Amino acid sequence: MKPIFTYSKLKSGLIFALFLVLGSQSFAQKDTLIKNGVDIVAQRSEKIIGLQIQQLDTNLLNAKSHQNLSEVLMENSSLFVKSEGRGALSTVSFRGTSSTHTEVLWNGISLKSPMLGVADMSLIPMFFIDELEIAYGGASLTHTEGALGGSVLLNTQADWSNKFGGRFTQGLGSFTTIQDFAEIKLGNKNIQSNSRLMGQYSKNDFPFINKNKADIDPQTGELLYPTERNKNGNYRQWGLMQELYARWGEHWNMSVKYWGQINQRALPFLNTFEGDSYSNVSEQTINNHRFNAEIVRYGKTSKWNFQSAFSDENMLYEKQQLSYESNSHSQLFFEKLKYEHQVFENSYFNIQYQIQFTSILSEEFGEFGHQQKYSANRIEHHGFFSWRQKWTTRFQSVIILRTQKIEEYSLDYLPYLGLDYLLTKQGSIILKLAISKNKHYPSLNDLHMLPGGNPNLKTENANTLESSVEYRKVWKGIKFKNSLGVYYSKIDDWVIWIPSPMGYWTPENVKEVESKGLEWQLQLNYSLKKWTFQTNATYAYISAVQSKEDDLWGADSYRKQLVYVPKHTFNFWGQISWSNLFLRYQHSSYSERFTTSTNEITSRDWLYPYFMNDLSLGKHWQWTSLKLETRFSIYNLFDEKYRSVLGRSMPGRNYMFHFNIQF
Amino acid sequence: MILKSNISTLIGILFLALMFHSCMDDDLNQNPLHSKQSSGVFVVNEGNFTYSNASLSFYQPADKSVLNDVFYQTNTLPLGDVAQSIEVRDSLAYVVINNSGKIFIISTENFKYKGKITGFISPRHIHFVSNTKAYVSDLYAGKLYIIDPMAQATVGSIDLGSHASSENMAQIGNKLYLTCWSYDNFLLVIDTQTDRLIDSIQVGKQPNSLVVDKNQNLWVLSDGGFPGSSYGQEQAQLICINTSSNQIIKTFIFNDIQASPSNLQINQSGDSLIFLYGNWSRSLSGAGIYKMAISDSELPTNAFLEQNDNIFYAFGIDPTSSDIYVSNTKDFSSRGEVFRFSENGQAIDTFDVGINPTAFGFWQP
Repeated sequence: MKPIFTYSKLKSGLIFALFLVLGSQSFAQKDTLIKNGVDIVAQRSEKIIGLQIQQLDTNLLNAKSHQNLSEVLMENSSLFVKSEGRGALSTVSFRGTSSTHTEVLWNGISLKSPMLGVADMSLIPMFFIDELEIAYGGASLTHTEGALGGSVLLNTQADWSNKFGGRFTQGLGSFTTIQDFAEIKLGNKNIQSNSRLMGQYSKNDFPFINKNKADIDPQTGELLYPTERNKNGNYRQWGLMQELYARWGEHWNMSVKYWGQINQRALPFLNTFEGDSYSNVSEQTINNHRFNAEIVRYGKTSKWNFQSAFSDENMLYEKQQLSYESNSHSQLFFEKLKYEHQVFENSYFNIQYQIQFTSILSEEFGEFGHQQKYSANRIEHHGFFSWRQKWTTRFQSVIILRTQKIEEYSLDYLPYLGLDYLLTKQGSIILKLAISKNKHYPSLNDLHMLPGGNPNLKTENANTLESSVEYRKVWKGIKFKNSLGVYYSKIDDWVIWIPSPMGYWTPENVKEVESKGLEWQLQLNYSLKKWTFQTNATYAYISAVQSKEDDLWGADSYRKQLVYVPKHTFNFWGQISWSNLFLRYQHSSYSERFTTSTNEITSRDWLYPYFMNDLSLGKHWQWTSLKLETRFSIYNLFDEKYRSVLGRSMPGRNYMFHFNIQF
Repeated sequence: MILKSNISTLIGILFLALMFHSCMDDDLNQNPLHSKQSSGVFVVNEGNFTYSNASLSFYQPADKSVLNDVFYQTNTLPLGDVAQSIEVRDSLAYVVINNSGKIFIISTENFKYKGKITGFISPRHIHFVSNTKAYVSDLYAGKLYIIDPMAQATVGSIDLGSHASSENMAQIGNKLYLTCWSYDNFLLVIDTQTDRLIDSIQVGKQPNSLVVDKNQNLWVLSDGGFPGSSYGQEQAQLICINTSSNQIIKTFIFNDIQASPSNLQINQSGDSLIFLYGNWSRSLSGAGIYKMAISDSELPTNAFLEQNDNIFYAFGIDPTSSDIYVSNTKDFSSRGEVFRFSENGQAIDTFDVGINPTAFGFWQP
């Protein structure tokens, strides 16, 4: 397929946009920051009362703006990231649940593909994100329903102190990888505009020794493994985000946001493939358009918020030569009304109603005129109520009740109760306890896909109990945070897709899963004169097993760890800065993952423990408001030959150089 | 002093990094299998789509022993993604690997990798015309490949006109009958001497398998398509064709539209048809292995071997003993199992194989 834009055109566009905005600098007006209304939920500590929520530092997000969401989550949380390779599908799962049980929201809009049922994290550039919040387990009910494992909330926001600012980052790296990101912010105390552009391309043709193919040496009879390049693995992305914010008086605030992105990627062959390579070349193009409009009215002790959002996704899959094409189009539209109120000094109420319309259309065109088509839509009603209460200086609680009515399914009530107790007067040790119930509805694709959709699918139901203890301390230049959590969750009617003898796949409610585990996080920052040390370590133990003893299909899988769920996940990063220089080391590891439900290991399909190490060295400069940074990164530091999923080859040691300018 | 302390921290971090160095070992099969067999049953395990975990099992009826993963264990090489079918000829087994676009040639005695034929789009089955000529069907190619098994190469192809999909083959004299399964309802007739398409016969939707009986009549089983298909779904059919006239002489219609029967086979004497009656789940009433005489005037109403709580995926008939081997996929993501029955349905043995056992090959030197 002919690309809509070429990379050189996009690059020229970026430079032109940069030039335009630089030229308009003289129009920017100086002003002072004014405080907006009375936002009763402005303090994060109150927002996360009774909830197991991790908020990532905005400086950290800024430093990682050239990465995608899956890389950031892998480095900074205990979530399991399953990546099919560079630029390929990357999904995230919490606590042993499936990636379909993870919800990802951008300003409240689901980024899950209605067709795939999962959010592809490789398509979410961090450059387009200002705030990142991870809600574990039942805490996801504060964001949405159905995220049985957890949810990731991504937000963008206005910087009312800005008059004129921007940043530009360019990255060049191995396998012909080019990245460009540009942002221009213009505004005053009443109006703000934020424009962001991104483009990236990688030929992604890394070399590797393919041990899944061999020829026979005619002389010796020995097997010869070929050295190959990752053919047909290129990917490219172009994105544009435009945000407009306005406020007037002390009470009114409005925003309009648009995020459009074009993602094209070729789908590399499995490393066992030796077929007709021309005929089997496949490419996927995903076009997204997302609009969000919000109007907010601040009262003295209350806040009204009306949101209207629209999301459109077009996914095209093409196979060359065979003239095979699959085109899926999905749309989502919702209206949400939210009211928050502070009663007395320590009680906060939040009531929401949302009506949502979703539609999908899938068309498949095969060789010799064969066509297959299906479409479906549904209307959903969602209600939300929460009550946060500070009972004493030490004891706080939150009650959430979500209701939802999705067409043919009965009305559901999803409750959450969370308690916080400060063990010490200074508030440095917090004990949290929560209990919740959640439901995940089958997607339209699960129900109606042709062939294979199962209209009789039931909802997946989760009951979760969780607790954690968190300790924070600031002492002589040392900032220390340590948290330890445990959880237990039971999920009924777990859906898996199973193949049929007729060649297609179908979803079935076949399992009951019990997931329990432990999550630990340690953050340590230390500054001394020109030296700064920062470390972050996370560890998770996950036991996610099939717990239905009388499952006739999978009796041998009883009490066995679920497929592709590691029991142990460990991530660590450490950074040492001296003056303007910094050295950063990143380590990620997973224990073995099973690819069979009975956990049998054969050397052919064993996913052995995974250990990955990256290193970056950088320097930054600052002249008044102008900041420059250069960074050189080495990925797969020890040039490991490895696999992280079956049938896919992974790159050896590779490099990236980034240059960043910010003003 | 402080600098020294910080350098120590840096060294500590780098030491931590080195601890994780080269922990991943991609050379896994350190103890290859060395075996020598005299006869037995090959079980082709399809594996999971895109997992490249197809495998080959070998069962010896005499002592009821089974060897799993024999190809990988012997050669340190995976079979590939979605193994589809097997054809045993003399001392070689030809295993068609659908989603890897190739055919592996394997020694039946010691499972050694002897060669491969590559370059297919989505190969399904191989049919031998002679030692130097075979046909390979393909799900998407719109052509039937002609290969030379001795030279391990594709030597030509036969254009199938408007038919994209080709599936199973059966030969009578110089006529090859070929089913067009996916979104199709034709049986094609090919002259094996001229390699030309000479005739076509319209049958029920999605003909998936065919056999020749003792009277040289051809039996064709069509699954009828699937629910909601834009191509349309109809009730599955079993038809009988007179191969002299290429006319349909008998048609049997299955009552339940949910049924997708497949795997039509015939016994050694050529007078009894056996097929798999089922669909993808346990929901079909009466699912199992069915048997009927070629002289019967109606479809059988009771299963010869009931599926019960299993999921019958494929079966094979040993040409020597007439024992029937039926595969059960269990949950599709763990080792499947194979039930061995005598010709009259008596259970003889059960053994574990690989993931999604889908085809059987019988080797008797």
